Amino acid sequence: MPVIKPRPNQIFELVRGLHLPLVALDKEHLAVIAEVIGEAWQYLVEHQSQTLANGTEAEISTLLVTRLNGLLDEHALWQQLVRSVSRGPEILSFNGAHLEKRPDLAIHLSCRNPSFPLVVECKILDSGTQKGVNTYCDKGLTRFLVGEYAWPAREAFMLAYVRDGSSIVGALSPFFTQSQNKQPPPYAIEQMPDVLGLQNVDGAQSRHGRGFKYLVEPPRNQDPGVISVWHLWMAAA
Amino acid sequence: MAEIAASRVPHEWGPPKLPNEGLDLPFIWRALEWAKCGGQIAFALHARLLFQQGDGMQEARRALFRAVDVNAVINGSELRQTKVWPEISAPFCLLYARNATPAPGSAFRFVTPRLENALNDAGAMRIDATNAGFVTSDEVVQNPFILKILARGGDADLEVFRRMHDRGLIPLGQYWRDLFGSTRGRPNYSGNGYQLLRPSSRVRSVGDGRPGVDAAYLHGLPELTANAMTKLLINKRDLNKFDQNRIHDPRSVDIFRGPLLIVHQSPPAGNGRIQVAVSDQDVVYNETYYGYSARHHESGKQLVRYLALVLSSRVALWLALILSGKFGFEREVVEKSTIDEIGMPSFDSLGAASVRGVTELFDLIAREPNEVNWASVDEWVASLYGFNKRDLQTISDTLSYNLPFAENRNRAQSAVGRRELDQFAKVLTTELAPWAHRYDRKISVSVETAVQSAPWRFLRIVADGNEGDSAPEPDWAKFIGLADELAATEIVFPDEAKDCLWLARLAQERYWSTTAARRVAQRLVWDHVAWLRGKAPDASH
Repeated sequence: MPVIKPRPNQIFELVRGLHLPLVALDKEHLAVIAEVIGEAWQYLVEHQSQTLANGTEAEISTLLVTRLNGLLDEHALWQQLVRSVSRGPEILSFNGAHLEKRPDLAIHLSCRNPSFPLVVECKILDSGTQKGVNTYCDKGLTRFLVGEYAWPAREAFMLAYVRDGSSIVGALSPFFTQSQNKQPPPYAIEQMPDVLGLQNVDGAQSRHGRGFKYLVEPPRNQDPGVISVWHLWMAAA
Repeated sequence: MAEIAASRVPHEWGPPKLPNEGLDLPFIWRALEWAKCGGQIAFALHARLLFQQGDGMQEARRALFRAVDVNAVINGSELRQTKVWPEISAPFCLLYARNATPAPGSAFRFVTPRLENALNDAGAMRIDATNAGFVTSDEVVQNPFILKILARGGDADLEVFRRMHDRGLIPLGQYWRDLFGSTRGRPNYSGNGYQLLRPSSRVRSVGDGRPGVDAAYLHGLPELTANAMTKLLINKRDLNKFDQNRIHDPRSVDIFRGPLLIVHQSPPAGNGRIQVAVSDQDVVYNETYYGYSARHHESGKQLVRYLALVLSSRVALWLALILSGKFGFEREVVEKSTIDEIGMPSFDSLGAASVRGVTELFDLIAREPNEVNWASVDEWVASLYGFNKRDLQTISDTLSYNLPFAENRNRAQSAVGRRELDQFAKVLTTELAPWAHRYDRKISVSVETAVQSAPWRFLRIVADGNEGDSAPEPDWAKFIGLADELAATEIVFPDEAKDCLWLARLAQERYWSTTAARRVAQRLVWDHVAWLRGKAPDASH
């Protein structure tokens, strides 16, 4: 089994000349991104319903990436904000211990160094196949809280491909509330999901503390602060 | 060297290549051994390391950028033969790196200082922060053309290229090989024209004992003239008879057989197109031309017409500019290898209707080669590549300001005129309109002639017609002094008193193209969305 050890030198070079965490993205930009993801999803619902209902998470994500890249030719706001969307590029974890972490989607913003895309994690929600909200949180959301994904940033997206009719208000919020009773609270919730009011998509934004510290940014051991997670739950069946 | 590379690059790549037998690359590899791990290294190098595509340089570049963590590259190829680095005529670059393999996602700054005679004559150069983007090591490994695309174009060109790249185009040279086979790796029925006998022409050991070769086998054939090349379809009456007694080296007569596409190696500076012509009959041409004979193709006439349309489009010259390992950084001619590398949709993939369209469009442009008809050619070719009008505009701007010819270099630096300023303001307004619509506002952009401060020009961006004229003018002297000190090319100033945004840009024409306006809009959208929205900034999510 390979030894997992921090590689602060890798992190130091990656973020050289930058101040961490990166400047927060404006809510307006994030709202546009959420809306366009919703539009892309709506297109897939109309043209790829079979795959959404039965395909694997990777198959659905690949379709979504293709559509989001296609919208770069069609959608004026998207075209200005986004350079490209890719599937699972290799990224470093916050301390360099993991060299090949691969988030599901990476949205490369036109304003940012391509090393620091907006990270999107995707999960199928289907209680019939044991893919519940606990998996969504433990195998998805947690990655943002422990510094595996989006550690230089202050925001990230989580997409749920919903096959069991779950909603954020009906499933995620109660799950979060219940989790607060555990010690320590596993998701470090600073703000419960706040509904975004998007068309086509069940969207909400929550805020979470992060349990790691930057290794290289002076002053060393600086807290990364909270992360804002934009949840988009989209009906896949 | 292989030993040094073995621990840093994937095993299956093998030992790194050393093209051109230059000493620079081995020196870098040895530096990785001499410098301590994590130590900083810097080199001034020939810029072919960044741009050359043939002779194994793609593999050499890939290995180097995988083996060393590059921090920054300053591409000085435009500044050769200036006082920035006196007496250096070779295209050069400065490479700064850390002696370690790059981490996943590791990126470096790639900067191309532009030619600015007034500044360069004083031994100075400008590093334009708006054109000094990041490139990841992985991007260099995956896309051997990326640095050339960014050097001769910019981010917008890279986006256009990426869209084209996904369409599975076939390079002309490969297509010709597939159609007609090859000899010693070169496609048959294609080649450079004959070379005149010269003092260096050798006497062959098996021959008539005289320099060069007997050219009698070409006698009787018509020969191409410069005048004949001015028309897309060559007219017999404009041709001479070939009458050279001897030529430097033999050329197969097969490359002179019609129907034939002929390409001039030097694109005329004025019109931003590779000069091509079609001959339906045999014609001999000299070394300043390349030929592609389609005699052995069942639809040879249509094939050469198709190629003529594609290669004479602005898309083709743009492809040569951004992809060629030589054109646009150390050569001003388009070499045959560059033409052969131009990717295009295969002629065989065209439907019958498209082939008829080729003939009709070719006849039209041959008969009436005016701007409107050439624009039709550009649009038709763009549609083959999947480009839209916006892409074509990017291509057009890049050709206008970044071709390597004196006319283009002068235009890029020349003082911007009122027409360009107005067009820039119009494009900026259009680009911001979707955001204005989103926030139910009306945003307009006007040229501010009242503010005079050479070498800058000013625009004012206002919302809902709110001119705020009673408020005092900003202290421009202060801002411009600072901008000059930083060698900036742009100032954006949110003026709270007048409730507007001021935009100042250097008064050189290259900074006022349509593509430049789109890039400015993009930055405004990111940096000033609160103003666009008409509310206080909101990042408190």
